[in-house]
Amino acid sequence: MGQPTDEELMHRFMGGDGSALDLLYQRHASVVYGFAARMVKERALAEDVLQQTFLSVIRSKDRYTPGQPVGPWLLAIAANACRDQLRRKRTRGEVSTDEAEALPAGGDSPSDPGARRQIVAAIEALPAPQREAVLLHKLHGLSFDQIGAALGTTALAARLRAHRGYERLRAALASLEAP
Amino acid sequence: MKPGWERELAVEAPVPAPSLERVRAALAVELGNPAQRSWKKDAATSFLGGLGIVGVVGAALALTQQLSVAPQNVPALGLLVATALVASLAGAAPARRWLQWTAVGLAVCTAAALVLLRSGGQPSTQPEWVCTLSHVAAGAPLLLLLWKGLRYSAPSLLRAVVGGGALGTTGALIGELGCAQGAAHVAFFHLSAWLVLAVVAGVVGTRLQRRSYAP
Repeated sequence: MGQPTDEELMHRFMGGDGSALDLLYQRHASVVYGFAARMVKERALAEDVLQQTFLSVIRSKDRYTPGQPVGPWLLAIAANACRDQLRRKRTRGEVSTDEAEALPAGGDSPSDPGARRQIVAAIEALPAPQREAVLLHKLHGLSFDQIGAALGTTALAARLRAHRGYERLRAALASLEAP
Repeated sequence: MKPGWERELAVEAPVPAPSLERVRAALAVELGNPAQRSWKKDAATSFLGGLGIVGVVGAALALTQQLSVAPQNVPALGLLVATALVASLAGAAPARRWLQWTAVGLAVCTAAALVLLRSGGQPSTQPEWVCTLSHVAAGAPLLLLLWKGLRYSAPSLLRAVVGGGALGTTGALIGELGCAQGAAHVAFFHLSAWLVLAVVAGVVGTRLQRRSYAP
């Protein structure tokens, strides 16, 4: 017998099976954390977002529509939590001082640390709505319909945000792409 | 080959093990004592609570022989109840923007109908602002419940305004039962109370500390 799908796990969780949530957490924690780290630019805040995302699943499980893809729903929750964190951070007048450190590094990163820093800076320099749309589309493979639903806007608006984000990234990183 | 920034975006983000365990522990605690909330109950409370307040006030008006329901009030009353139902659902239901905009459209049509369906009107001995104040007061108790419910969903100005609009129908219904003044009075002193509740619900509702960020 194969592994249960995310939607089956969510169905079990809604029926009262707490272990199903733990399996969902194991499957999706790194995706949610990665998205949050790129959005809020601080590890501690990214951990908060990860926690708030899964606490939201527990507290508002009846807001999940049975059969709806779980991954995009979790990212929608994380995006909402990130937006609130960023708004509160702005209200407090805080500025991240360790932005490049906050972004995760992996084995496929460009070997040149200078180039990586430039890429990280360009991604982080995007306005939050564009960064959100670019990350959800490019990194997590969400459709613009799903992004629109996640961000509480239309698919067209989500497409526009992502398009503007890509344009900015290409302009900022033109020197890296030159042969 | 993908450009460098696209490869960079595709880099996986392992969660630091201590973070993973801290969050897991917090989830276990929450699962042991979950603070869950049902949006269906919130919607029902908003709708039925509003009707309950209208019922109590209507009974009091009837007892003091101040009830002034004319046949021409019936369509307006029907529209208000329909608006209360749709807006209560839209203000609580998960991620249904079409329903929220439907509620806004219905509320605007109902507000116009309240003014247009008013006939000549009768003068009152009370100052006109008494209507505004009493209509706001009629919806205010439910405002606290609305805000409590809004804490269990992602911040959304539209959702909060629609939820406040649902509560505003309570005062507007009372206005149809107990006030016989003319169209201009309804436009300025009844609809303003409705608007005040929607705006206050929106402004405060989007700034509340969230217990959940589910859409």
